[in-house]
Amino acid sequence: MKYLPKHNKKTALLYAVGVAFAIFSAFFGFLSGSTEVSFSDIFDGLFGNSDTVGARIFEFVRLPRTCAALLCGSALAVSGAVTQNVLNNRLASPSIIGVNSGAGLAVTLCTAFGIIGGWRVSLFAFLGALAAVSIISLGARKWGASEGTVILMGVAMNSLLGAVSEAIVTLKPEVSVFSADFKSGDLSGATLDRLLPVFVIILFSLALLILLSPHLELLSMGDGTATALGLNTRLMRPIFLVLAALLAGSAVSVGGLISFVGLLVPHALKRLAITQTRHLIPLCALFGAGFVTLCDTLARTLFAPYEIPVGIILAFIGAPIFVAILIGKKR
Amino acid sequence: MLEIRNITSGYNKKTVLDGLSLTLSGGELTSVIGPNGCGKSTLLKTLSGLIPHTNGQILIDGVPLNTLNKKETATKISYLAQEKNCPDMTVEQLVLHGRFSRLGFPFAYSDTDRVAAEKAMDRLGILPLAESPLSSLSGGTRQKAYVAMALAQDTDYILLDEPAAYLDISAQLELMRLLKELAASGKGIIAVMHDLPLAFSFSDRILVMSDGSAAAVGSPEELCSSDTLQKIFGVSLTCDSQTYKYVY
Repeated sequence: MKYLPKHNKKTALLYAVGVAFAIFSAFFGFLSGSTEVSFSDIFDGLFGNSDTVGARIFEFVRLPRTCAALLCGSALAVSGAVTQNVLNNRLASPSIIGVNSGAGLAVTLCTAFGIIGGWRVSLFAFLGALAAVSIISLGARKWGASEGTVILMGVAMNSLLGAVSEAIVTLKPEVSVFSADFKSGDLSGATLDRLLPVFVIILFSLALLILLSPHLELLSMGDGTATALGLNTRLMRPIFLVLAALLAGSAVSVGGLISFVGLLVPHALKRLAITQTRHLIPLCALFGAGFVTLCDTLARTLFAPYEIPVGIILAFIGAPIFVAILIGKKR
Repeated sequence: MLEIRNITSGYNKKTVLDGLSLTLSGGELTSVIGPNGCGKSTLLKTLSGLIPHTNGQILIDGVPLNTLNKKETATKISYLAQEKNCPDMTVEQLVLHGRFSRLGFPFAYSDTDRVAAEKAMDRLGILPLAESPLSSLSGGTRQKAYVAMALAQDTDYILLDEPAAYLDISAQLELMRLLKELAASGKGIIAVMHDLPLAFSFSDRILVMSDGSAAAVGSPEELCSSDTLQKIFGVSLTCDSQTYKYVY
């Protein structure tokens, strides 16, 4: 009897395309903009020899921003894939079920109280995301909510949290400038120092998710079947929700409310028959990173010297692709 | 041996099983029959540790069920629910997850697991569909994939809640023959059944449940000649060379 294959060529090819896409998007981000940056500037900037204007722009502007886009994209796409599995709901994503809004409200609160950056913002964003995802998850389990009901609960959650954020902006008008960019996603404020804790959190979460991928897959089979197969669902479900919240919260603390990535990337990969979570998680990270970085570069170069929020470009590109995937699925 | 001693079980504050006692042996196919809501599914969920029993004791080969953790339980008892999801995975992935309770660090399925999964799929005749997504399969074929998953779990006891649901008649007969073979190989098979002639034709023992307790237990021949079925279901069965038919 022949052993079942462990991997297939399509998966290997997708890994290669994902890596190439992320690298291409990163270099496109490094090289594009109103000031010309050359490969030698990148080399100089990377090795601390920032004598030229190009090297300084690379080191202090484009490198942090591109890294922020890569990190946010990977975190949100992976968070989407995890949320969909844990809630056993294909329509779930951090932006749709209110996780991003939870993190967003926490960040708005931080700003209102004068906390602008650093690990405290990341911590509050995580707590906000965790609170939102826990409410949705508890609600879904308690009332045995269907796919559609969970999404409607998310819509209600988004509206409520959005209203609270708006109320804060009204009461504290100085937050409003920050708030407008934040709502559509904004990566311009990134610095390498601020990205370090986010980078560590994302790396840790990704490693744990890849390790625990069979557990995550079992959760998508429903609690009864997963428990009968030996999974402690009461322990594992909260662990995965915390990881999803960590990822979404980290991304929101850096880039604001970037939507669509958590829904689009996992769906697109599943459409390409990537069903094994062990591969889906790293591939989501690669394609999510590449997609957000590409969109962010377009957002700041398409109408230069004006810059539009990355969320607008993501929606322009993402929405038609997502609709095409859904139509393709129906056929 | 699976010993059930005077157990009480249910959901939240509602008691469904009340004072049920029963002994189930390995090497037998036992069908559980009874009217809707009598506690058949609750019995299987309680035996598989999905819902706790509040009173009494369940012993698996002498070991109390409530002293085992989820993984230990899953190496002794496999359970297939009546309602099952259609997750985004292939048949092979689903069947491989039957080996989850044997998975050690770093949580990657071994070649032994893959061979077990392949054998299980081959036995159910779904090996050619190994790489097909579950969502592309008919309800019956998906049911076979789940049965293959339970086989791959390789436990001494297999509990199945309405395994013949969604299957056409030839697939139902094929499945019952498979369950009979598994019982003959030493496994204890307990299946909730609604089709009485099918249950009586293939089972070694029948458990008739009513209002959360055992109304009768016996061989198909014994129960067929008693008035239990008439009392519980308002029908009886006739037997012709080990094939049972309804008499209305």
